[in-house]
Amino acid sequence: MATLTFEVLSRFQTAADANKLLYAPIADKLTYNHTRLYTAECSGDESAARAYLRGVLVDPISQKVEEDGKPALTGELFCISYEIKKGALDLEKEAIMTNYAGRQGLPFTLRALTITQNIYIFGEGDKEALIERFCKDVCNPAIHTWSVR
Amino acid sequence: MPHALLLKYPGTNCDVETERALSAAGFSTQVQPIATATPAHVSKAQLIVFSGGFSYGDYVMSGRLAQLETERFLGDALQKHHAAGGFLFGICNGFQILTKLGILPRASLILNKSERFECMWDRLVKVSRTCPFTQLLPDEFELPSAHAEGRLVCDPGDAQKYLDNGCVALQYADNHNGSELRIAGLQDPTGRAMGLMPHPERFLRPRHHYDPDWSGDPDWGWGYYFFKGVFEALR
Repeated sequence: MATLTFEVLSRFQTAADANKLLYAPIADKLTYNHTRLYTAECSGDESAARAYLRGVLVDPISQKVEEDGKPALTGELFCISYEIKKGALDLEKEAIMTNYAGRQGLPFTLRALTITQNIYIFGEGDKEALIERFCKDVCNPAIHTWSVR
Repeated sequence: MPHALLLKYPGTNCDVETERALSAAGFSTQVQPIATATPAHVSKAQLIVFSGGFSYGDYVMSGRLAQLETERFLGDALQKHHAAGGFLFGICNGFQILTKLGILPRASLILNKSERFECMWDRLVKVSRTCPFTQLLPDEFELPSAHAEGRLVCDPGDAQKYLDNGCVALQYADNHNGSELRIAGLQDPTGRAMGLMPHPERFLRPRHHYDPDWSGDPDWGWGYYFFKGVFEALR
């Protein structure tokens, strides 16, 4: 069993005002950028699985991808990673898995897929207070689990 | 009577208006959900249409899952249809799907520069003089737009190449979404495949115009002439 990761980000997206993420603005001059991290559990032909998933998940014109497990962006104050809770319906994952299941004769088995949204916050401020503030407004405890690094 | 096949995906929401526009122009039209579409449906049609909406919730990126599911259900039937002289027309989300299918020149439609969904009327400038879809339209006209991912981007240098070789069918007069070289509509080198972000099917009749006193045409809105133009080319 192999674990493949694809952290996808736009080539055209620049860091934006982080107040866009909050219900009420804050005085700190912070910016944010976001990426989407796909983690796939596969068995069989790993290079074929990687090629299939890259073709599905990455637009070569408008996006870049990190496949070596390292963060796609660096220099952040903190990064919030959130995903749909286990057992809750993740429609994007279901759509990808349905397409995979409908393909005939692929030389690998895609056993699981997890989609994580990464929000990178850049700038300076009271890190712990800001983490609490951003997690409260970005994540929904009814449907998300999240971690901060 | 030319026959049009409108492929419908989960999340397609402009199929009714588009079917109405096709019928008004003279096409017999079949709306077919992609999960039950077969190459036989494609082979009966002279025009394949991809209408607007949010296919598969725009997951991964707009048009991606529709492209994958189209390839799964239809294989290369659309490419064969095109190579055999057939026409294809993509509107908004349909434009995004056609670019992903590789039938239109290589480009991608990404989040607007504003990073928001925008709903407004766009003033458009006709660029290609050979495009069958726009042949009946004036040099400048307006259509409604409604999209979040309508900013056309290309590999470096490609947008200028498309402008130079006649693949740009339409440009925006005001480039609100930030598309490269203001490109609003692309066609392939044969002119038989076209995609655009604005919605011609939403301006079928003069009463659909935002200005109740609009007098550009006594009977039809500008959108009608896209469908009539391709109908005339196929007749």
